[in-house]
Amino acid sequence: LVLEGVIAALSPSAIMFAAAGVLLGIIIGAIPGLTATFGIALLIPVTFLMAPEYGLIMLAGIYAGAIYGGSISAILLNIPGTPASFVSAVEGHALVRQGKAPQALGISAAGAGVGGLISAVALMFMTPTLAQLALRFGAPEYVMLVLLSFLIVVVMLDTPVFANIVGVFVGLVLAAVGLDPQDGTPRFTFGYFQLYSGLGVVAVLIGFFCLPQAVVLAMEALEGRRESSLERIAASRPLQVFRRLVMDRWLLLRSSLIGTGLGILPAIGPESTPLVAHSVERRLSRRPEEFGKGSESGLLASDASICANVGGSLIPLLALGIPGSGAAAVFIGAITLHGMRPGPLLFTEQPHVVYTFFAGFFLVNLMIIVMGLFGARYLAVLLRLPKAAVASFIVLFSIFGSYAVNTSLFDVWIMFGAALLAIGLKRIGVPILPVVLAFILGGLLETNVVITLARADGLDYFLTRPIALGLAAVAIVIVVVATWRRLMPLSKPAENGGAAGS
Amino acid sequence: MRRLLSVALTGVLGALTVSRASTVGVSADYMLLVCIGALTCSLAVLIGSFRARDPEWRAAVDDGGAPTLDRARTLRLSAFAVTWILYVLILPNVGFIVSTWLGLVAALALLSGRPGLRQAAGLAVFVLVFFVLISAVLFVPVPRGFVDNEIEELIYSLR
Repeated sequence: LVLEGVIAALSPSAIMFAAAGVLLGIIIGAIPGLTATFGIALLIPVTFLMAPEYGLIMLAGIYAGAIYGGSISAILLNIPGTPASFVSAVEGHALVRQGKAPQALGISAAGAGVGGLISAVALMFMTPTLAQLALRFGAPEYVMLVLLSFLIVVVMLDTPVFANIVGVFVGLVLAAVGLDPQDGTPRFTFGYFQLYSGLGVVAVLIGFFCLPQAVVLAMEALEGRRESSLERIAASRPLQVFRRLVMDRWLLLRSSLIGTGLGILPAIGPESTPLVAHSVERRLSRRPEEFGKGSESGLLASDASICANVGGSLIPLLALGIPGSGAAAVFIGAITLHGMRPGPLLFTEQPHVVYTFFAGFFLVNLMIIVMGLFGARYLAVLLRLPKAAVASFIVLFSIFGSYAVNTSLFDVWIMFGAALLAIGLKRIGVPILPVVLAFILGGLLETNVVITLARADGLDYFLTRPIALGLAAVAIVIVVVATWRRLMPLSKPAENGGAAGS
Repeated sequence: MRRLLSVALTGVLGALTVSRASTVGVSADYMLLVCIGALTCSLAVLIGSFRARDPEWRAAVDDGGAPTLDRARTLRLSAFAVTWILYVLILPNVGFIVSTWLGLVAALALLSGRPGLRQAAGLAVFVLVFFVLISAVLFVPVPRGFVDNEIEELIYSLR
């Protein structure tokens, strides 16, 4: 199967779609304000024209490419293209000020690519193992797993706990729109038959991630924030970059493993990993004073961990159907729309798709290295795009993207509604990530709750499910630790202050 | 505004909870539980919105450097939003090409001043290329008007 996957991933179509995905991703990520989640949500409809495996490879290219692309504007302009690139902005832009822009762009590309390749190894070997374990899962285990994911999101986000819980519940309500799975009666449809099959996933996700971004860009355009002017940048020297990789090989491995490990956990997207990898490497470094002031090692640690996080977030997604980040949650929507069920059954129902995707993910990361090393400096031209044009075209593409899935203007109105909801929730301090996670996983939770309650004939039923009990124990530990941390005074400024070296 | 939105959210969730109160069955019980949970927590958020001095809540609703607009610019932003709503409304009647061109020209005019003739012509070319791409390559059936039908006939005659 692995060999078949490799052969399929090396077909001209797969290479073309991987290249297109990486290029589009880098372009999206390099434009400040546009994120990987935005890119995936907007381009899901385009992948419907392809075979599922190629569509998923293209989306993985967009995901990884956008995460890497964010570092380009971070390094050149000190404006992180995506929230994940803020450590790259500190280290990379300091290198640019020292006249080392080509070396900074080269290290960023190579670090991101190698980090992604290491996470691809983990993706290839850990996912099937985890999926094997998940095959033993019944309804109670799935209920506990989904609840555990919600719990991790609720306690890990910086926003107030009640706001995070509201987000989860709002997402569950949105997921409940449609027909009742038990008796088939319409629920929250308000007389619209178009809602009987539920809210359109693509329309809702575009509404959540794309339109609010267009509004912010429109506001910036009206405020007069203009595009930047940049000097011409020289080409990176691959040999010099390779020398840095060899010198920092253990740093690269550690940062990639940190990124992959954190990516596996729900809610810990690429945004938080560079900070952890950077601070770990600073502590282990012989020259910690250089970190935060233009350290090539610091930039390498940051970018390797960011792209490794992408692969990590795909592991629970493919093995369990649980996304490891906001972008992965959108990715799950794409898999579902391609007619597949993310989770352990994917390995038995469509193994060729999974293994082609695994091999394709290696390809995607190799392309990041090649495109980054030789093309990043040309993408600097994107940083000159006027915000007014970007905002207008985002709205147009969002409308077209939500319309194209079912060729229905009703979905466009759903997208407008979702955008209003996202903007309103943001205004009252409710984060969007728990909403998306619960919206995606709500159906799975409800189905399994119903099955569990129908089968359970008392407490004994639950006591004979060790995996569910184990997950419940983990959930209790998380609640206790989170409560303890919130009750303890948070006064350790010396440790917290210089985490990023900035 | 924040409190108004919190009240609106609580009100909507309250209405949904009431609408589910009379239903029966395991799935209905699950949904009622979700609605009650959502209502309770939204009430907590509403109460939290009154704690204006609480730094945690202030940080949560902080826009992180998002621009604030004066009255005139807010009106232009509102007009930008209305433009796209009108676009969706006229799309089935006017067709894709004309409505998309009008929508883009109006949106750009609102955000960055009146576009010049070259810009407007450039947008027209973009819309034509986009239409050919989605109708002849992506095969997405978009709403058609007179211009769209003429262009499509031209494409097929060229084939």
